[in-house]
Amino acid sequence: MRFSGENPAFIKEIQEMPGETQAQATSAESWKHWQEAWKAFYETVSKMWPQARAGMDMQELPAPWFEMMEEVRVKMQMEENTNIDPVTVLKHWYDTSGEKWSKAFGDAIVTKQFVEAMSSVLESYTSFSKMFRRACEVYFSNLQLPTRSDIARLAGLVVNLEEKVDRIEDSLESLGNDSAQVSTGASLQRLEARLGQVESKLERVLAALEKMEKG
Amino acid sequence: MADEQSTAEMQDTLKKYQLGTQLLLEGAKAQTGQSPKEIIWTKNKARLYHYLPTCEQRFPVPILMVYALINRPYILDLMPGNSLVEHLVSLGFDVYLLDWGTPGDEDAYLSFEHYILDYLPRAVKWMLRRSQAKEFTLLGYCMGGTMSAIYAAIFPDTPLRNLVLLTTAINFIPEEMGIYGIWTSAEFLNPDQFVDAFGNVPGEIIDLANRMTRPVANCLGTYITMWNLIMYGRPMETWLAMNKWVNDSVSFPGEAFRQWIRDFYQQNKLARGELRLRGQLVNLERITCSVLSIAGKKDHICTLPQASALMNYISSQDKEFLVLNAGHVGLLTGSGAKKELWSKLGSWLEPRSR
Repeated sequence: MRFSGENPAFIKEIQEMPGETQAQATSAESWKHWQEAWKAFYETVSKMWPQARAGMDMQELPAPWFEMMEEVRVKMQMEENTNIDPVTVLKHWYDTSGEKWSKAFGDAIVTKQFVEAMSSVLESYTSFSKMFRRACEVYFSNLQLPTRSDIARLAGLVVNLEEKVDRIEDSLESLGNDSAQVSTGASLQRLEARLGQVESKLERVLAALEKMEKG
Repeated sequence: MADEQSTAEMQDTLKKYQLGTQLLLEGAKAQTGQSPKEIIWTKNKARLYHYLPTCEQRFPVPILMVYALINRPYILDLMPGNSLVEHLVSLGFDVYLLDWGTPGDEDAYLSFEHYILDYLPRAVKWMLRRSQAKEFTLLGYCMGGTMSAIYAAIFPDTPLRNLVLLTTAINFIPEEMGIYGIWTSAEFLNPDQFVDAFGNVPGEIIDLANRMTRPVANCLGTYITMWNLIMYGRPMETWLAMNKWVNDSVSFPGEAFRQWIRDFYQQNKLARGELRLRGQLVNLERITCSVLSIAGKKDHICTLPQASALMNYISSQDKEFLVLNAGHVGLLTGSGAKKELWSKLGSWLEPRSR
């Protein structure tokens, strides 16, 4: 591949351009270089795949890998658009082989071997984290600095306080309801007493009227 | 002229690569949870939101949404035009959302007892007080659904009119749990080691475990989609919002994690009728209200048998189990959700909320 930057005529042409246009032309040229370089890389790699496949012992690597790679290569070679950027290649690769990879991983991650291995990794990780956390606690305590545990303890006190306020609120509410009932009962009693008084007054009025009628 | 075109093309491509790289390194940023709301109650880190009406309220029965203890609840109100909350409010429902918040180290002791017996009843009380309603609908998503079902079973006298459960696991039989069947088995997973090491189990660990259930699609497919959107100049708002949510995990309160793994995943106590919260037996037969349970055919976190089992345990006469062609999250948001879940929810709730 010959880069046009090596062409003396092109260099002269660039040098004769005004500053801004020169910069633009140079960047356009470097963009072309980038595209060409990528294309060359892509072509080389796509040619290498079948060669690598032919030269290798198939038992060394799983066959599905090559099948997937072959499918991707064929599909990408069928692509009409020659301006293939890395993202397009990645997308082709994913569209072609994503499902197969998903299945391959899906099958692997439910095996007992995988889960056992993950379980050991997690156990080591949690043990290390626990040890590291404790060491940090001790270290900062020795430095007379507040640690996460100290802050958590303090925050815990605030949470407890909030809980107490909630309980007081609940108690006040129920007390409010109870006192509302008491005041309703007292009001009724007062009302009954007044009704009794009105009744006795009415009786006296009636008696007086009867007396007047007789008199 | 050709050079100018080539330069423009280069600059455009470089900008796209810059954007993609930035997203990969810094993570997605998006405005989420934008429906207007007010906080009407708080307790510790929990918040009870009331979504302000945008139209005349047509239904006197308010909806209380309960989210899981992991991830953030704004998936229910992802972004304008792609929000279940916004949709329900626009139909004339009075909508509330209980956000459990982000637990701190001081909350590592919080268990399902605290959340279901202390927090949830108080949230219900404040919601009823605010809405002045006599009955309410409880809508739980994922673990929030399991918590809602337990609440309904423990408090049968609560004025619960409808129980809606989205992708809610009730039965935790290893053979029916897909990949989690082996991952969470007592042989390989000891929740105590996580709680002892971290207090609260870091959200990143929970997130990684969830991603690993579909490693290729979750770790690679998502970013292939991103590059595709960038390179073809397609709208990215939904992808950004979703990616922000996926990476925005919260820690799992230690004690609740221990219970979730041991009592639910490993011992299946809820379905077996052996789950006790502060000594109270959780008997799903005590659920008598109207129940709608919706699950996704492609959901690998809550499989169909795990969700459908509820129908066998409850005493409700009015009950329905619905299967949608969606995954665990796709059921809630996106064009498929609008067509299927949202319309179904609205039509089911409307006659039961009058």
